[in-house]
Amino acid sequence: MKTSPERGQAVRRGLGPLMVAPATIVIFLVIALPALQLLRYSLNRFDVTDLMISAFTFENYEKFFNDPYYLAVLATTVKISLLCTVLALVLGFPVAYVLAKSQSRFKSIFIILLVFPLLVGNVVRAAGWMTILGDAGFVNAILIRVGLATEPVRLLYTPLAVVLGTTGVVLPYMVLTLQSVMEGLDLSVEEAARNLGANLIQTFRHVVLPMAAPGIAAGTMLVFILCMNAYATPVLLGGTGITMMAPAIYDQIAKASNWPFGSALAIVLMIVTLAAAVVSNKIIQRGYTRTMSS
Amino acid sequence: MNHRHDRRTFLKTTSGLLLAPALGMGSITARAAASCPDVIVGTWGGDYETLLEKNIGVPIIKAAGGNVTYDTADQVSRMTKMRAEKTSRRGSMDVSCLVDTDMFDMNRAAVLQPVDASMVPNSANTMEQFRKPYAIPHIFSAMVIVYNPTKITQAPDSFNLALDPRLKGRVGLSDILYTYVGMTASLAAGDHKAGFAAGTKFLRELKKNQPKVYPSNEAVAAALKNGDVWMTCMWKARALQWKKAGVPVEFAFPTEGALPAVFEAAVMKNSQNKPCGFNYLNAMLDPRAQAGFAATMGYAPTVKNVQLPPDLQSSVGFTDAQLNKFVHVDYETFAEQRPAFLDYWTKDFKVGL
Repeated sequence: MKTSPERGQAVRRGLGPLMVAPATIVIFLVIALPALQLLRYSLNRFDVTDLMISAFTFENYEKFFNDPYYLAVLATTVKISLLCTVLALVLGFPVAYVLAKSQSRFKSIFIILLVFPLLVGNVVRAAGWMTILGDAGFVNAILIRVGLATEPVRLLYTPLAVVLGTTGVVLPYMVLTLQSVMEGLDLSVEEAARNLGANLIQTFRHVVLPMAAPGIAAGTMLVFILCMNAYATPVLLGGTGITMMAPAIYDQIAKASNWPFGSALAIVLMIVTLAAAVVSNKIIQRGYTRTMSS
Repeated sequence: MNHRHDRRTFLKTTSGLLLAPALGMGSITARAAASCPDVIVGTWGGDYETLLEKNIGVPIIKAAGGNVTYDTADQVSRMTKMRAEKTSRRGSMDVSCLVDTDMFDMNRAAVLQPVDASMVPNSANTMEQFRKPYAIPHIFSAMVIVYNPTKITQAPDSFNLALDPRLKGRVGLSDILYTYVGMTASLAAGDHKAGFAAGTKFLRELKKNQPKVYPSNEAVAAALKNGDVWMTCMWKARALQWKKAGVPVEFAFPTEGALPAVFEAAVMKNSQNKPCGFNYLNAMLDPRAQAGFAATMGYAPTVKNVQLPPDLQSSVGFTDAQLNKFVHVDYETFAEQRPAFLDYWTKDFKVGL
């Protein structure tokens, strides 16, 4: 017969899975179930009158992989997402580092300022970029005023506008993720490294970076996923100059009413995003382990 | 129809009948509204919803004792909901508002209740060319040539002007209106009966003139305002709104004919309140409501018994000669060819512009 503490442990062990059940059920209902529905739709056949005919065919996937246009759209999406993720990391890391080390009484105000853009929708932020990058916008006005251009330079509806706008959207996520991880680190080891003769670059490379690697992994994964699925910013700032996957999916669902092909595009985007996020996470984690052990 | 006629409903209906003369409303409207505690209308948000409430909800339905609840969404969400609820006996909307091409799709999906003319007496006043068995025409406009008069000094008479090398890089098009641009191009090419075929050839020629494609109608307006482009094709109602907002534009009716856009409304087959739905459709065709929409939104009335002030009539309306030049849209061909045309528009026409 079990003693009372043993029974308590057994109950706690049994309670663990039970406690994750509500969250699991919610995730299943709001994420997994719709994704499975999408997967099922992607195997159906498109019909102009009935929207789709129930089938079990891979023709939508074949269409995607045999069409250079959609492969180029996917490649553009991955390239833009990688670029925005790297930019967000490079720009966000110093901010997160300073915030994590800061003992200032204004620290909470800085964090609120950082969160503030998240309170404004992506569309509103894109509208702001439109007034900055438009032909009659702020940047062109400056360029013409200082004599660097005689007529407006096309900045809006270009890949540059999409990269700037998307990086602006995801930057707070990167900073907040890095900062929350760095807050938990013992940064006195950095001082120890400096006392032992390491210069700034060596300290950063061999001490700060490995310690921050879990934060970098989490931040880059989160930001990369957000970039891959960006819709409003590419549409409003890229216009017809650049097409990414989310607007292409919208076109198929909303304009062509081709739900099976739109669903196939969505499944491809999900799988590529998941695979890329997992691979990048593995690379960062592996690099971190190697650095720490060397 | 499964209506329950209990004592309370009977009293509500009869009290509504007693109130009708005092409210100065037509007896049919008042009787229907009084037995319609709530009608749910699926509509776009923004101006359209505001004007529905201002011109129909408050002065007609609520004044007769009824109430309107708006199910606001963009047309894609609304159409998806209509399709998704097809097998449900209890639909979430009584009335759905859509543009004519989308309404045709919904009728093909068999989710609409045919219009019962006896319950929509105002439908007898609608313009014959816009009548459909499954929906009422609410307001309409047509695709016209919109141009900057300081850059194009002679009013254009055809969309073929877009091919003029002098307008290289100065023609702007709205991405969201791609199908209407395609049909306008077919008209300019002289053959709209075969759908997008002639339009596609026209657009291939136009591409050599490096037109600009903008992601929204608002972006086209901004480009016209800052002089980036000098010409586009757009709904006349939109052009009027732009002109009011200070965009330097005039518009011209193309001699080859124009493509109409009719905003329609229909009662859902699975509405629990079909009489209330038809009562609402009838109110949409009320001359007062039609005049209100014309004054604010710039869309022309679809009923013949409305009297607009002469200046408003000349700005939002169309002459008889122009109405005769409206093309009859073959919705079936339009719907069949739309996916292929979208492919061309996305993968070919827009690339590099």
